[in-house]
Amino acid sequence: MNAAHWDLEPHSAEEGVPPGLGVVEGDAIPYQAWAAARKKENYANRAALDPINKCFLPGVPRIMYVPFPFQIAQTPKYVVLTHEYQHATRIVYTDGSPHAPPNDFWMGDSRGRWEGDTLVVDVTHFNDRTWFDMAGNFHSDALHVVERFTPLEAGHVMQYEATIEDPKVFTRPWKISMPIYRRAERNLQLLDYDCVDFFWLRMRPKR
Amino acid sequence: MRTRILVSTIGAALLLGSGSLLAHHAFSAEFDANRPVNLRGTVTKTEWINPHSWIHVDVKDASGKVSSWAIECGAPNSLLRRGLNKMSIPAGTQLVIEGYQAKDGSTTANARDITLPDGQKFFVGSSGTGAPYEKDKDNK
Amino acid sequence: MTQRFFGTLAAVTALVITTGQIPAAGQSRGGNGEGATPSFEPPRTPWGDPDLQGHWLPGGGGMMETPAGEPWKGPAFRPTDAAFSNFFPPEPGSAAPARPRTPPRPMVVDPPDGRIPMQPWAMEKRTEIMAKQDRVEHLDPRVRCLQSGLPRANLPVGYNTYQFLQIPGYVVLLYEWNHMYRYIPLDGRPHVSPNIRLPMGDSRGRWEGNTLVVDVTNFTDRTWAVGHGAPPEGAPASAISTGHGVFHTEALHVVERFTLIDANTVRYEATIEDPKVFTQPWKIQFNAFTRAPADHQLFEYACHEGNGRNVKLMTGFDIDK
Repeated sequence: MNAAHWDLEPHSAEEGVPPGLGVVEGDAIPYQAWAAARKKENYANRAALDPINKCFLPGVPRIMYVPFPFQIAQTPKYVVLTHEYQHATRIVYTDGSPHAPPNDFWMGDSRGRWEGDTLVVDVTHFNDRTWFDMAGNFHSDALHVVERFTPLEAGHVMQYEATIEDPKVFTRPWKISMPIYRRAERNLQLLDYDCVDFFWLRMRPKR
Repeated sequence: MRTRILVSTIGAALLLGSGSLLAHHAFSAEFDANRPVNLRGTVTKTEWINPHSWIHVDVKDASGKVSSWAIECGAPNSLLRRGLNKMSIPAGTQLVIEGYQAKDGSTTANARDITLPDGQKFFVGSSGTGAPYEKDKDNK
Repeated sequence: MTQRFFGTLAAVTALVITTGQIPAAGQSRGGNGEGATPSFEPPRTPWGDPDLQGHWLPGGGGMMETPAGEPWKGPAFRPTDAAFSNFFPPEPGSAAPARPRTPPRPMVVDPPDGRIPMQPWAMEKRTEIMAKQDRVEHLDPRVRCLQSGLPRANLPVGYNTYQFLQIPGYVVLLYEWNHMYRYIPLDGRPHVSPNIRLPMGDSRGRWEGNTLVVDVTNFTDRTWAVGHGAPPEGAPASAISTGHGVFHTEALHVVERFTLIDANTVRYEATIEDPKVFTQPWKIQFNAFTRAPADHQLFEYACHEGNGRNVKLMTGFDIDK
């Protein structure tokens, strides 16, 4: 359990925001100067600007630490992650296939391979429309993410790491890491947080 | 720039059974099969969004005047499957566009085919809208 | 309008399983959706269940129902404006198999007249819904990028393809349009509490011979049960054959049957019941899934994210700003 979704970097509590030790290796996200200024603007206007507040897909790695459960179905050729949040779906191809042709995907295009017990996933073809958290940390469409999923501790915990690279925004690649805990409830199933449904219910109709 | 708000429906091809105020996904609601266009233009921007991708082009007419056209194409998934991707038509690409102009005469068109500078031609039409280029539109 | 996620554990349930072989592609053409299900011995998963896995394209649909009223002949009517069944027109020179031709009969096979048996008040409401598609409260939920509901998710629509996966204890259905998914547990566990309502319902599956039978309950009332293709512009509800406007209540109960009738075709049947809306349970049947070419993949179909034009027209809110 961590406060990454509110802010990847170490931060104090605010009203409605739990404090966090930070999940960024080295604590600080290495923004280029222009990008650091833009991040400050994002933060100042985060209620209006955070794309998740319009029910847009959270992107990767954000979908991995939104506070909603997800489920993995694994076959030899596919590792499929399905998320309770906005029924987001990630198909990780472990069949050796190349990336899809370039496109503006919200959740990127994921191709995985095994290195020992670690699933390494290469994610590309992002658009520039998602944030990494609620604090305004952002990226461009040059974003490239490499994730590492490593089972620990008799299958109850998984170590999750994501290396984030974006030469248009950051001065160097940087990394987040956190444990992900297996849910122990019997007969657990994902329910449905259909953000878009609530979005329409909230909107005052013009017609 | 579009002067009227035209609405696209999502996913299924739908003719919304209402009056003219609400624009429809149907080809015939927005575009005119009797106004074919053949445009040569320079790509300024592409939008890879659902339900229709959009290619924005600057078109210079005989007098040298440049107008900005919005070209409606099929969904990104269908374009990908036909061999087109985000890198195929970057800004600056010269395109030939064959399609049908908007009923309201605005510089908007529904594209059937685009031809790239190297001569490659791609079918970029939308499916399930009743466009003139669609095959097998009847119940079969 | 800040969403506050007061945290539950960010956690994972992982199922780590191997699966069976992909069935060898056969070339036989299946039946046309009429009559008794042809007998076909499907390939099996390593644990012995029929193997439906793979990528699938929308099958031939045709009409949903025989219209209750007169065929629509509005001023803009042309025969080619009628319901579109061919949402994935074969590309010239493509390797996609020719899709089985759909018989010229409605998908509704029960009642025998092929009409969705709506109660009179429900037919009136459906008429109002179709006449007022310019109102947010009546606008087709798919147009608003809500999930399709059932059995609508399995009806042929443009830009939608499917992927079926099987792991011991579950069948997992992935839908390209709007990135929907369904986990179908096979272990006989009960449905969730009736307090829980889900747009795609709560699915419980079992094998009956070679047929996957799925019982779905716990629906919300914010989807349409069916609706595909394009109803003629301006047509009243009584004159459309596409199934649009068929709303339902939370009492909706759907029982689905998926059967591999040949190596490349899955027949789909659904019995639809809602005693508040329909006069009787009714049934649809058609060959809903055709095996996709070997290199087919699902691509991300982000629906709401590109729906700015619709949202702005209906509510004035600009999601693109």
